[in-house]
Amino acid sequence: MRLLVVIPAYNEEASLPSTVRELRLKAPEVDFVVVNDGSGDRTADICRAKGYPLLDLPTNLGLTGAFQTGVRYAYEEGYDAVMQLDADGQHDPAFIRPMMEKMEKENLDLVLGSRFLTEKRPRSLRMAGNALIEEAVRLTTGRRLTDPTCGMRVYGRRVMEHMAYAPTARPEPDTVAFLIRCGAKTGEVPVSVREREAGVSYLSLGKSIRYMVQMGMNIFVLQWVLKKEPWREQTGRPA
Amino acid sequence: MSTAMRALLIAGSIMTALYVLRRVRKSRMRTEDSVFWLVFSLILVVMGLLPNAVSALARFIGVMSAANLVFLIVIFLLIIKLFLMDQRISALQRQVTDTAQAEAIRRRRETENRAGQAAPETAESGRQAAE
Repeated sequence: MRLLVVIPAYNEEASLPSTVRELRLKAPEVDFVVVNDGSGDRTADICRAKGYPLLDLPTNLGLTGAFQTGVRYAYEEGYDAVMQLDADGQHDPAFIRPMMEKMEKENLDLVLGSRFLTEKRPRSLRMAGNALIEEAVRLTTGRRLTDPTCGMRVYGRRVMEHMAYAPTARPEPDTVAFLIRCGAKTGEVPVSVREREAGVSYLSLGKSIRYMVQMGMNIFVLQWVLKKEPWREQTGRPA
Repeated sequence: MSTAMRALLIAGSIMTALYVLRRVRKSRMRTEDSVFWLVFSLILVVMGLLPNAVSALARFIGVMSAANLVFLIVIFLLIIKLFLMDQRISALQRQVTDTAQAEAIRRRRETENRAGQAAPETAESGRQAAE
């Protein structure tokens, strides 16, 4: 299975090199691409100097648009799967292989990393939001996702086209719920996520409330309006 | 409706129409976009010229005064405009996103092609450079 790891990077000059170094060390067999999301710092320069494969966006699109650029590239280049890896070092590349293996072995469309598959979810405001989204996804899809907001997700070939081109597709739990309702087969793999090493997070505390309201709206209301597209079998997929 | 109110409506609409037409003449506004504002000022003029019709309509709907109905109509028209603009912004945003993504991928292919012509083993040399 050919996997492309997409690293969206917005002003990540400080942590990007160590993230890539770790990725090459722990998962040398996978391809990766850095998506520079219109950074104002030297993110793009570093990529060129070090020879990282780079998708250089001329303007800032935000995490959704940046990740989608990588998915679009992966889809057009014929990759079998695509996954997001945060540039800030929060995601440990050691989990890439188990996630790929899970996808291949069980022929899944979507493999989600979960911090709470084996461990108990800690009590905090943020985790309360996480639990709320889990419940929303369970109510609308019947599927229990133990960590819907975790960014480590592997998207298989069958859901890639939607992720690459649908204006409503986002690497967020609402889209995951939508994909499940379209018939995507999902699985979970236990992962652990680290604290940020440097740089500024996309999701500030102030945006959290807005995020929750939007998730609620999308999962409960808007996802039902979207036209469902049953995933057609892609040909040329290695067994 | 008071005479002052009528004068205000007529003057306001004529000024709006003139301003829009001037912008179109200077090619600052597309003719498609000017239509809304010309119709808008036309409605204002009609309301200023036919106060009895506005009063009758207000009585029919159950609005207290003709002036209130004028406000209601203007707010209604502006909300429609706001909604149309919102739609336009969504479309523009989608187009910008799409264009930016296509451009990033195009640049990547260009670099790949150039690297492919210069040295086939670029991935390897890139890996060495990273160490």
